[in-house]
Parts: sequence; C-alpha cells; structure tokens
Amino acid sequence: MENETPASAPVPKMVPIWLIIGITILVYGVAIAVTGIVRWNHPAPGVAMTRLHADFWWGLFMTALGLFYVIRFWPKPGR
Amino acid sequence: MTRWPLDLPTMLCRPLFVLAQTAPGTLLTLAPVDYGIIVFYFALVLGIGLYLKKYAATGEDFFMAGHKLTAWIAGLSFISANLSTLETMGWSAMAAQTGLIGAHAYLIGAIPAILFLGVVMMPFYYISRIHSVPGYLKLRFGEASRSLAGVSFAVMTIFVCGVGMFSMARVLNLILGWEMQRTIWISSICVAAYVMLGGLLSAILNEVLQYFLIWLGLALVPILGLWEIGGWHNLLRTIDHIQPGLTHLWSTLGSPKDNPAGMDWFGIVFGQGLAISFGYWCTDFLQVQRVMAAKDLRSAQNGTVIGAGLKMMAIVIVTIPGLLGLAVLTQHGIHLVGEGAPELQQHLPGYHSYNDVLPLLMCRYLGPGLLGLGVTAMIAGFMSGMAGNISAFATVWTYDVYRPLIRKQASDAHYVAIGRWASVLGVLIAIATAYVCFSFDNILQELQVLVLFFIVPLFGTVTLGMLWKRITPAAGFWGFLIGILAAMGQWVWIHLLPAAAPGHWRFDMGNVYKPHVAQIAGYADAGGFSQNTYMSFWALLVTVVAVVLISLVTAPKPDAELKNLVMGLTPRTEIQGPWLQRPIFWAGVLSLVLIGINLYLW
Repeated sequence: MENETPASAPVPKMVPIWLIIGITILVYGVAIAVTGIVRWNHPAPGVAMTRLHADFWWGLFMTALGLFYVIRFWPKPGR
Repeated sequence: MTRWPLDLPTMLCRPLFVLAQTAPGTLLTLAPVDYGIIVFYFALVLGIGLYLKKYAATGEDFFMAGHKLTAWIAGLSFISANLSTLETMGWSAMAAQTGLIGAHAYLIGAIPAILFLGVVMMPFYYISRIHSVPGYLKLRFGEASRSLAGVSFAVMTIFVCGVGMFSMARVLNLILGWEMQRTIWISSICVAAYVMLGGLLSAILNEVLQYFLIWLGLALVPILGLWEIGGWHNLLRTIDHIQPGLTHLWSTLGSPKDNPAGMDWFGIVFGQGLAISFGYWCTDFLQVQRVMAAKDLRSAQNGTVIGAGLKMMAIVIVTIPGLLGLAVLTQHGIHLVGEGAPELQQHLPGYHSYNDVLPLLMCRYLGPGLLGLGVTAMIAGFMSGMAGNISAFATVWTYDVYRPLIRKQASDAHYVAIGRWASVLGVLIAIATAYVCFSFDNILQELQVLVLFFIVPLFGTVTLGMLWKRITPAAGFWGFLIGILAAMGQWVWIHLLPAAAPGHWRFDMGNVYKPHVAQIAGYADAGGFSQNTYMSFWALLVTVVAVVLISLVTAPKPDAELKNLVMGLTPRTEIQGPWLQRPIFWAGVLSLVLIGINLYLW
C-alpha cells in the first residue's frame, strides 16, 4: 500500500560511505587537474611556487584516490 | 560548529570577531571554478540528507546512527567533530604567535584524554547502552543529575551553534566578502535540512567528508611552504632567527614570563592536559556520541584510539602552517601583529593579525581550483560543526529533557518526530543567537567559556562515579553543581573590577582585574588561555573534593543497582583476537609516539 509506514517498507542496502567520499574526491580531483592543465602556461598572479604545477599534480592525486575508492566500494551483486 | 572554546583559546577567538571590523577588504578572491566546487559541496550535503532519510526511521537510527559505524568511520567522525575551521585558523594563529607551545593542544592537551576515553571510559558508556552522557548520570546518580546535565548541555549546545554560525559568517565575510546574513541563512537551512532528514548518520557522514576535504584542501599549504623554505630544519632555524624560543614544546615553560603564551608547565599539564582536555574529550557528549554509535565495543574503542592518532596528525595542517606563517610571510614583508596593535587600527599596508595566517598562506600557495577546495573545506568545517551540535542537541533534548520531564511514555516514532523537530527548532534558536551576536558578540563570546566550565565539573563527577562505587547519588548531583558554581564564580571573580566609589565593585565582561587573575593563575599578566586553564583546574579540584566529601556523609546505592556502571561491578571487557586489533596495543603505540614527539621537540 502507498501509505504504509516507512518501518514496514523494505529499505535498500545503504551505499557505502566510502563510495560517496570517493565520488566527491574524484569530481574535485578532475576539476582541479583540468584547471591545472588550463593554467599550465598561465599561472595565477600572486601565487607562489607555480613552477611546481601543484594544482595539476594534486588534482591528479585526488583523481587517483577518488577512483580507488569508487572502484573499491562500488556496489557489487552478492556483496 | 565544533566546541571550539576548549581548543581555541579565548584570546584568539575574540580577535576573530574584531578582525572583521578592523581589516577592510577581503583576503581571498575566488575564480568560477572555485564557486563550482563550493556549489557542488552544498548540493552534495543536501543530497546526502535526502538519501539518508529512509535510513533514519527509528530512534536507534536517528539518534545513534543505528549503532552501525565501523571503527574508522567512528574515529574519523569523532575527530572531525573537533577539527572545525575556527580550530584550524585559531591554532595556526596560536602557533604563529607562540610557536610550538600551540602544538600542546594536539599532544598532551588531547591524546592522553582520548586514550583514557577509549581504554577506560568507553566500556562503561557502551555496556550501559545509554543514548547520551546525561543518560549515564541518570543510571549512576538519578534523575536530578541527568536533568541538570541535560538541560545545561542542551542550552549551551545551541549557544555554541549560534555563535558558530556567527563566526562562520564573520570569517567568510572577512576573507571572501560574503554578506553575513545570507551566509547564516543558507548554511543554517542546509544544516537543518540534512540533520532533520538523516539524523546522526547524516551528521557523521558529512563529518567524514569534511575530514577528507580539510586534509585535501589544506595539506598543500605545509607541503609547498616547507618546499619553499627548504625543509623542517630550515623552518626552525628561520624562526629562531626571527624570535628565539619559539621552537620548543617545554623548555620555555618554566615560568609564564619566559614565553609569549604566558603559560607555565603546571597550567599546561594540569589545566590544559588534565581538566580541559579530559573534560572535553571524555564527557562532552558531542564528541562521545560519535564513538558511542559504533557497531560494537571493539569498534568504539578502536575508533577512539584511531581518533587519537588523527588528532596528533592535525599538527601538520594546523601548527606547521602557523610556523610557516611566521617564517615565510615575515620574509616576504608581511608583519604579523596582535589584535590590539595600532598598525591594524590604522590599516597600515603589510600588517596583518595572527588570525590571518591561514588565509594568507592559502592565498599564497593555492591557485584557482585549489583555493575553492580550501574554502570548501573551511565551509564544511563550520557546517559539520553546526550539524554536530544540532544532532547532539536533538538527542539530549529528546532523551534527557523531553522524555523524562515532558512525556515519559510514547512510541519510538513519536520520539523520532520530536528529534526531527528539535533539529529544526535548535537551528532556529541558534540563528536567533547568531543575530544576538551582531550586537553582543563579546558577551556571547564569554558565554562560550562557560561551556568549558560546565564540562569540566561533569568530567570530575562522571569519572569518580565510574571508578568508585562509594560515590553517592547526592554527591553526583551536589558535587556537580558545586563544581559548576566554582567555575563560574572564578570567572565572575576575575571580571570584578574596583568601582569609582571606594569599597564598591563593578562587573566588566570585557576586562579582567589583574590582582584577581594573579590569585587564580599565579601570574597577573596571564592571558585568556592561561586564565581558562587555571580556572578549569581549580573547578575540577573543587568538584572532586566536593563529590568525595559528600559521598562520605551520604548513603551510596546498593551494588546491585551499580552493575555495568562502576569499575569492579562491571564484567571485564577484554577484547579478544589478534593483538593488532586490540585498542590497548594501539593506545600503547600512540603513547610512545606522544612521548617521542615531546622529547624530540622538548
């Protein structure tokens, strides 16, 4: 019935918290890495140590970290 | 917000409010990609709240996250509830001003207490299956103690949340130029929505997310800073060159006159390390609730020990940036001064408050994208702190105020509904508090110190009750109350100044009377942080003495009623399994690391 209480309705298994963390890090990582590429030859004025291209490398690191969590905790049938 | 008065000294908090009035313009400028990152964060937390609503249908789910948390999630949430933006900004400023002494908040000022919670206290909390720390007081001492703790905690939690909202609006106004009222309402609606929908689970998930954001958003500051200055040893050498004596943890604590913090070793060990730290980490329900929601006792204990390790690591993103601020910024023509400095009042170029250290370093090292992540981490730090307070308020209000005092018998669904509405009501009262701050920020600032004075006597009472069965219900109530009054009495005492008429006194919240400060802290020029540590120590001492003396002249509870509540009447909870999974092993490892760091940086 439509008006059944939530307690009686079957609740699907919750997505792992690590998957949500992974997706967030992945999205942010891609955004920061892409910004790093775009600004590779046009560093933001006033920012120090731009020769290290920290935005690109940090974005890449975050992308890899996010991907690891997404792949590791992606819901699989039977788990 | 996180309960910052314990970790963020008053001497640093007040300047954060003043800052917005003294420094014109903004420190940071965001690019479109930065705004995109911030908007994504808001959409994400609202989505999480909506998603988790169906998993928070019962009281156990809504108030205790279903007792499903693993050790890592419990530990991350436990420490994230403390790692707020005011904490990172405030302790970075402290490190820039006082050097490594500021790192004590992450060492002796936290680790022993967290390990004590995990190894000694957690079994009592967990085995008694309570929903809150006041709930333990009910079982151990009776309804009167629980009501006193429940009502006080509920009121103070909302105050702290409101001041947190105001602080967030002020800080974001200062560094980004955002309009304050809009910031308060947007963040509040967001927090109210996701806590009302998902309860503690929602708050915890956002705290874990916040932990990752803070590290990923701020870690580049110390990395690039150390790279630029040539490594750790060069950093220490540079600071020694600028101002000797700031690169040691203990060697300048022989006398409060020997260090810029105005502290001595006694205040650090017995004030910060014992009274404040143990009170905050072991009995502040906002913190304890996170690990009590673990799926079993082993996870609760291991989660707490993990939290201790994570707390120690925060030195990297808090203390080191503070030291870098002192070394790097000074080398580049920026002068860091205290809040009262005339240079700030005159808006002289190149002069900044110590409180600006972290935003200035973010501005220096983080370009577009990275800066958005750093600012998102700051916003997340504020919002998850507010959510933590609201979820703790909803639990204590429902279980320790509403149920025992207003409606004793009702269905589980009714109490969940009360918890949801309490979340919304709590946010609304907090918003009202934030608005009051616009007119009376210093008063509410001082009120936050009272939270500390409530928590410290609570720790004395709860701990004695856990460790000694002779402690009586009467002592639990009256000793706790006497401790609170002793703490508040000291606070009033140092704010009593001679009036114009001879023999008369006036109360001035904005000033202290140095002879009274000297009576309490042993040093007339003791700063706000030093005053608080000493007042906390004396409050703890008065509480312990009062509880013990009253116990000796009143009747204790029979042993049968103290089962699972007191040491000696609670079955030993030896965690079985490989030693690598035992909390006592990792507590020992962390203790050795703590000793090692203290010796290395002595």
